Amino acid sequence: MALKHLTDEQIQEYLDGNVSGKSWFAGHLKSCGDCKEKIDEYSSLYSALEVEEKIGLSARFADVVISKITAQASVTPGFQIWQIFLAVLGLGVGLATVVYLIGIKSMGKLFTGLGEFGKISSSVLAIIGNYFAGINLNFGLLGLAAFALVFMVFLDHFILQPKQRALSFFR
Amino acid sequence: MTNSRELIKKIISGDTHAFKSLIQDYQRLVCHVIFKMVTNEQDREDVCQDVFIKVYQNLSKFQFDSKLSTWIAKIAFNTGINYLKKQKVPLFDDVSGENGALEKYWSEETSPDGFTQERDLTCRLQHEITKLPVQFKTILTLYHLEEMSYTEIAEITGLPDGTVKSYLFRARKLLKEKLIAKYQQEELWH
Ligand SMILES: [Zn+2]
Repeated sequence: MALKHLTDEQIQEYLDGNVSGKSWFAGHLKSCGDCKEKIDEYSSLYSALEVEEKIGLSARFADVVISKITAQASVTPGFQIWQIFLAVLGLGVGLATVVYLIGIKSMGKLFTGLGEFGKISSSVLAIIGNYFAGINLNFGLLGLAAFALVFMVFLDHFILQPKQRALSFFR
Repeated sequence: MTNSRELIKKIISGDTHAFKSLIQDYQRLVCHVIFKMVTNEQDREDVCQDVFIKVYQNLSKFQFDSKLSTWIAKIAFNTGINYLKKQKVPLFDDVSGENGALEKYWSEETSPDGFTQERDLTCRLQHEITKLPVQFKTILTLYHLEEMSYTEIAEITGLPDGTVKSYLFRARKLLKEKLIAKYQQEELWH
């Protein structure tokens, strides 16, 4: 019967310790120089693969990591310019919508009862009202206001709240 | 497991000494993963730092579904992959291909360098390993240096168990052939 040589896969399985018990391996290896040689080659490779390379990080590695984390944690949740812009836009749209819906004159009457402060407020309101009346407000603005509101809720839920949670973790 | 539970609890409650000891326990593992992926020496330490920062940030999400070492190695592997993507390093994504695909990927330099003049087997091998695709390098390292199982390596690399085994066997076969070819040229083998 012609002997079948060991395949590369069988040799690797053998060296990995996945060939259990008395197998035909041992018998074949005793009589086959070719396979013995192949096993030796793989053994040398395995030994070389297990040699630890000189790997090292700087002595202060852990301290640097910790100081980086502490630095990140001490940063108060700052606002980006686009976040401030969106907030101002949202407020503007909201105010404009209120003015549009209630009507500038009834709003003015509301403030006249409040003396000097009311006068100032109503004149400021009048300016804002005239401005918005000048640009011909319509229901499109309402849609925009609704959109801005939904957008801000989304912003708060998915960006600002997780940011707060992440930061509270460091404290 | 109980020890790492206590350690994690301490870290989450803000004990920096506990985190420092976690770094010391796992920096060898992180180095094994990152140093095989990141060749630029200056970037290596930065990437290792990023790994531990991510570990810290996500520690409260660790549910003990796996060993802490597997979880940390997975973060390291993903951080390394993101780094390589940023560096536009081509990643080997042929899962089914036979040795031909790996052979094609193999980059053979034409110019001689310091390593190829080196006659020591370990140095030769390290040099040959650098030419392997990143997943193959990681698998070899985790299997031979960290003594991890196929299942653990599969979890870290996101590859199926069978693929991990196949990549490991193909990598060793190719390395053996490359080394023998080199040594035979110089009649150094044995
Ligand atoms: Zn044989």
